Amino acid sequence: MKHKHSSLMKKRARWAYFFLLPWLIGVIAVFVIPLFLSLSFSLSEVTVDSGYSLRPVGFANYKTALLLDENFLRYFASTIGDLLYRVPIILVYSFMVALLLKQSYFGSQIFKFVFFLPVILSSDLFFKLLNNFGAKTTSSLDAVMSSSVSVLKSLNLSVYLKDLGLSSKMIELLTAPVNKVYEIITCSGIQIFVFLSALYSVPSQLYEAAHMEGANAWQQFWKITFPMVMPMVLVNVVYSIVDTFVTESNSVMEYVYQLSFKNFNFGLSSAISWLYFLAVGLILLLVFRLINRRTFYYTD
Amino acid sequence: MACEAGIRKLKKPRKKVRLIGNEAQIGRKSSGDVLMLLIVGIMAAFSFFPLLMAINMAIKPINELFYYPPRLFTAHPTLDNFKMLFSLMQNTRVSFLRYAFNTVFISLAVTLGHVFIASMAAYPLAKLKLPGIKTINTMIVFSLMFVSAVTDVANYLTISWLGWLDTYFASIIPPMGATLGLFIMRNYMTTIPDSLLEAARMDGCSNYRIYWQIVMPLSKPVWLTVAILVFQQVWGVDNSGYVYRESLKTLPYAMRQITTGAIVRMGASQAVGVAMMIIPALFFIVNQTKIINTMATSGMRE
Repeated sequence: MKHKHSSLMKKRARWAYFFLLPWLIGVIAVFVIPLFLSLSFSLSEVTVDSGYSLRPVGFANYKTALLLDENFLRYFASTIGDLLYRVPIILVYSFMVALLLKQSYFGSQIFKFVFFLPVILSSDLFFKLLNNFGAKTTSSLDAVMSSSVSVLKSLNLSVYLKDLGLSSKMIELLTAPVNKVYEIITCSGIQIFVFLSALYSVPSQLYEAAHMEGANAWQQFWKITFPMVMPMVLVNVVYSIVDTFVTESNSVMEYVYQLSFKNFNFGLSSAISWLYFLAVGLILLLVFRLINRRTFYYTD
Repeated sequence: MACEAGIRKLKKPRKKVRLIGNEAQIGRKSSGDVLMLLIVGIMAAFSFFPLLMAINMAIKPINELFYYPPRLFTAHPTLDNFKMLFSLMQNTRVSFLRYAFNTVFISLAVTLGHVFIASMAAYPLAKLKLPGIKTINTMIVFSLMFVSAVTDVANYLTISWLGWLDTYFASIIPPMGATLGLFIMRNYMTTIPDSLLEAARMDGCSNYRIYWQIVMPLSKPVWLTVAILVFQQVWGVDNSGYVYRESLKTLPYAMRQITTGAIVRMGASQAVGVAMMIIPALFFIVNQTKIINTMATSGMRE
């Protein structure tokens, strides 16, 4: 390395910012600018004609969202409720699957592919393509099937149960957990592979040393695997929370969509999204801080 | 005692020598193999079921699609739905291959671009302690919340201001700035031992070379995973919001146009579901093999 007058730190800083630059430009264009635009929308009354015009109204939109709108708070509460049970289950499930997939045994490659399938099938595209069909034939059953993202819809489990002569109350009780199982499975595909990539990177000499010292598999898991994968646990917690909050099937998101693209009330929809995201962002930061402090970073 | 038992097990020759997943194999019995297979099998059955359904629906003759109550397996499997899909594809205004090319091109360009840009940014964010980096890290976590749904309208304005409407740029550039991949990679890169980077620096490696020859190979599993994630997301994107020329639109758009229509198209719309699955599935399989190969050749050893 050539040494000029700049100090080492300054040199490194220049490099670091140079590396960061392409991404920063991108993030400013697609994230920061839209963010401020939507903030300005939320603080004004938006009228769309050939372009759009803004009339500042202060916090009126926020007041409407919190005090007058009958849907927002209800949807919001139900989303939080979903989050509380989903995130822990998704995490445990995907960690377990990743551990199982990491081993090599007969057909382990095929299993990996099978566990990735729900990710493909639950993506936006297939959700629309398959539900396109489901919606037309099962609209009357939608009330029974409470779940929103469920390929199982096309199977109509409830129809079978109805044939067996069960009451609708019983059917609801039976189908709800099944739908939840699919919700969890379709939501944990990516997490499984994030965990898997983390498991691959745990240095194997750690296990060899532990084995030499007589540690059993249980101890190895808690003393080596778990701490080493901890940074990715953080990633997956954050990802699962984000995924729960921002999927299009989420009731608040649906409501925002409906407000902005059907009712063309951009002001109110921006205000609601801002309230929503501030709340969620707060939860996210809290969780992030909480876990990050307990995370073990293996640097040396 | 436990140690001796371990050595005894080690002495017993195993029938197969495996390269990967080495640590757990040392003391594992074949009964454990069976048990594990059983557990994975049950879980996999749940994951496999939707695909089974999708394929089943695709090979049902059209009258069977409307059976009430619906049947799980079809009585008369047929390829009519696929035939219909193909004949519909012949009749599109722009050649069907053009749509396919657009989708593959856009998906690959976004995947490559995002992995490159985000990994470049992730390295300093994970490994260098500089003023401003902590703020950026917090910002990344926060920014994950703002998905395209919220910024759609504003994004449109930005793209039109840049003059990118009705070009490939509109579909390729914005998704590259996503923060999710960056967040995953950054956290992964924090686990790379500092001593490796120090040693490289001592030997006179430039930052660029450290990034390209040390950080990237070591974090190969994670950026391949991110690539799967990004490809998967972009593959399903319908770009018709930003692009008006028919020759620049993507496959999901074309497929939806083909299949939404009369009830006669119902069979074809089931076939589309299966047909659209093929490329992401292949991408995943190739990708995962790459990850396994990395594992066999280079562990993260100091």
